[in-house]
Amino acid sequence: MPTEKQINDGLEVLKQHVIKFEEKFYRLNKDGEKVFVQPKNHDWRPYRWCSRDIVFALNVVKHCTRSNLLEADVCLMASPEQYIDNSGAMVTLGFLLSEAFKCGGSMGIAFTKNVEGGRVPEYICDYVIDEDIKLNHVFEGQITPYEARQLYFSLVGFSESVKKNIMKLSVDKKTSPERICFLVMGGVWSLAEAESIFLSSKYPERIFTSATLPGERQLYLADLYLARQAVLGGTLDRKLSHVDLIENGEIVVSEDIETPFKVEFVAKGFVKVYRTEVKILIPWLPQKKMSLTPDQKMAVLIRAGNEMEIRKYLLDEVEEVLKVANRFKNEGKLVFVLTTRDFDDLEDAIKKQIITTLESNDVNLMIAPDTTSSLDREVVRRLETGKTVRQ
Amino acid sequence: MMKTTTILVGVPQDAMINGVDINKLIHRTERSELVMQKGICSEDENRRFLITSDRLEYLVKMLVSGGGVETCSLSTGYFDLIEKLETGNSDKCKIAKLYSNICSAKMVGMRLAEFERLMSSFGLEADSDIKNKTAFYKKGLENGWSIVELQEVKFDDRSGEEAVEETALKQKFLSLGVSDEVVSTTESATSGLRKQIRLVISSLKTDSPKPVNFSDQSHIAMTTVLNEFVYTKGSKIFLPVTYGDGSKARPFPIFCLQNRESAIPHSLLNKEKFIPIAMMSSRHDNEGLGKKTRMAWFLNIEMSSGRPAGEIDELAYLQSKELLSKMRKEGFYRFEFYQTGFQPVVVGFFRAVVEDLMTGQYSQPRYQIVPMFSYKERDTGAEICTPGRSWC
Repeated sequence: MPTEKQINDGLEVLKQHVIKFEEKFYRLNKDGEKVFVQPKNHDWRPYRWCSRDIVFALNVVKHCTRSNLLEADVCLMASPEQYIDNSGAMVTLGFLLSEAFKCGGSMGIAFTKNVEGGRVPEYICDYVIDEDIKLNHVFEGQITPYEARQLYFSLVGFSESVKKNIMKLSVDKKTSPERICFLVMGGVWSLAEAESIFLSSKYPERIFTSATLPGERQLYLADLYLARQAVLGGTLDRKLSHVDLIENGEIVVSEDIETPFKVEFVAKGFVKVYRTEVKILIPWLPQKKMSLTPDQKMAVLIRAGNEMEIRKYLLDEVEEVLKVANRFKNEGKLVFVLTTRDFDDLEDAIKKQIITTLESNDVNLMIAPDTTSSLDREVVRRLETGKTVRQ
Repeated sequence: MMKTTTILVGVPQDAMINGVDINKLIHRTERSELVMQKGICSEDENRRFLITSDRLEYLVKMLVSGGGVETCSLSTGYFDLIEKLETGNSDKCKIAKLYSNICSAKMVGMRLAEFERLMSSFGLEADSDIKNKTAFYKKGLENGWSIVELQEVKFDDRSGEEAVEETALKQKFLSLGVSDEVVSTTESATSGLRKQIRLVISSLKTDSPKPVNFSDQSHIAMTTVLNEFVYTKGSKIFLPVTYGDGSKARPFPIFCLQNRESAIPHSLLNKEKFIPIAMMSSRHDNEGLGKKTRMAWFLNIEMSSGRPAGEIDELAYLQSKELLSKMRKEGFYRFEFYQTGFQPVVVGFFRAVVEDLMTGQYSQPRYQIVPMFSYKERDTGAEICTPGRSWC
């Protein structure tokens, strides 16, 4: 823990930075209005990381062009008791490492004398010890690119099989682990989406490097279909994690309270298996209400497609779906098939036939509010975003 | 694991669905594909291509489900094969348009020949899917069909995980060439960049070469340090270049020139005065350097277009290369290059200069460029200019 003096000194340095930042980047335009001018990477920039009224971290950073690393002049953090251990350090490290990557530097991070006298902050060291990573230059106040790589990798929380996958891609020089971590930490792909892409493709690097051009339509379509599946699965994750809080009789959106559940991806048949710690309502069931309780597991077969593809998956080749479903039913799991809103475009008789066939086999149909075209638009947006991310 | 099957569809010349002439749509999509290859207005064209391709594939699927058109299903092995070929043979495959999924009737013959040539170069002509595809294209050629290659996804009931020896892999991963050294943060901009370039040079010999990141560098430091490396004796190498936005640029040649200032005849030095040129228009105020310079090398409107830095670098490089080669034919020029700090433009310009000078190293110098660094004096605010090392 930093001393009270170190915290107070850090807060004073932060205050000075904020004053200078506002003087420099909030300017009056010719109409006398205050406008914000974007700072450059090499300008000192103060950041505050909060959830509601709880501050996790206060940072002031800049990219040091001379040494090609990220410099931190303020690095204060807290680990509030109501959150997971080392939450402040995780927030800070996530930010520092992503910022170091974004600024295009070597990934090294240097802490100035204003940060606990010029050492790597103690909270970060605590986290690092828990993760079994060794920092060799704590009292020189630097995290080297070698250490940063391991930290970033462990921070994102990939499963062991995906970690192996990423290591292999790096060893084969197909992409850097930092880029994959940045795409996940930066929210381009959620962790669960990234995992499903890695585990169900032979060439996941094509999606993560946004390498395929639309003109290479065959490869592009294959990437699009896979990413569409992953995004639909991600939509369900977000829906399940969403909690509506009731305050003074009104529903308010909660940004930081999420339903605690675990999700595991099974590549065989593109299935997501969910387990929850509290009872939750299963969403998107047409004319039905079902809940998932902590003693149950729910297997969801993701089948994104337009009405022609839905017809193929769930009518013409329904046996394939039922074969996968039976595997999970035999393990005592509730089984669902998740598809897109394009289901509504099918003729009523076919819709009925699909639902009846599935239900007679104890499989329930979930219909997401998204259509294939909205999912595809989202995939294209993410692939385009990936093009402007450092390789 | 997801698997992809490919279905070849022969589209007859009179194919219509929902009142849409499929062949017209194929022509339109093909034209869009061609424009994209040329890189003209690529963002708009990409969007147009995506929309027309989606529509075309949807309508062709409807055509197939209605019956009456010939199709040929290739196994999932075909797609696995063409995916595999992409690794290491990307250019070859692109030239043969292996990954395009449309082919208008008039292109079928040419595409077939390219496909056969490509497959025989890989020794794959005996593969059953390749044979089936070739036969279908031949049939298409005889019947005057356009051909569309549709995809269908299969959810394979097998896991795609390969057995990997974890300890060895982790060892290899951890030994990838990443610096584990502490770096001084109090160096000057020039010595910092010098050090960065040296690290990049040493990384070129390792398994994971690193690029030099020119974003956020001072343009004065960049020009000075690049000049040093370009005019230092050694065997020529190319520095990989990147920018903070993730874009890459062409590599920059270093250790490749000899300073030839002394080879400029005195008669020319006396005769030709320095022409003051601004690097970019609209970057100097009208009272100071704006008045002093005679022209601008680049137009601000073309360079400050919000594109990725790598693309701006490329544009600056191509424009400069063209201008310099024209200039070389006209006679001897000397000019002062009043720089501003737009890194991709500076890098693109000097790369073109170096490459152009490399072509004329053994003849009499055709031009001399002296970079001029201007900055405002802290106390008075007056604009001051200092010359950098010359390039000739």
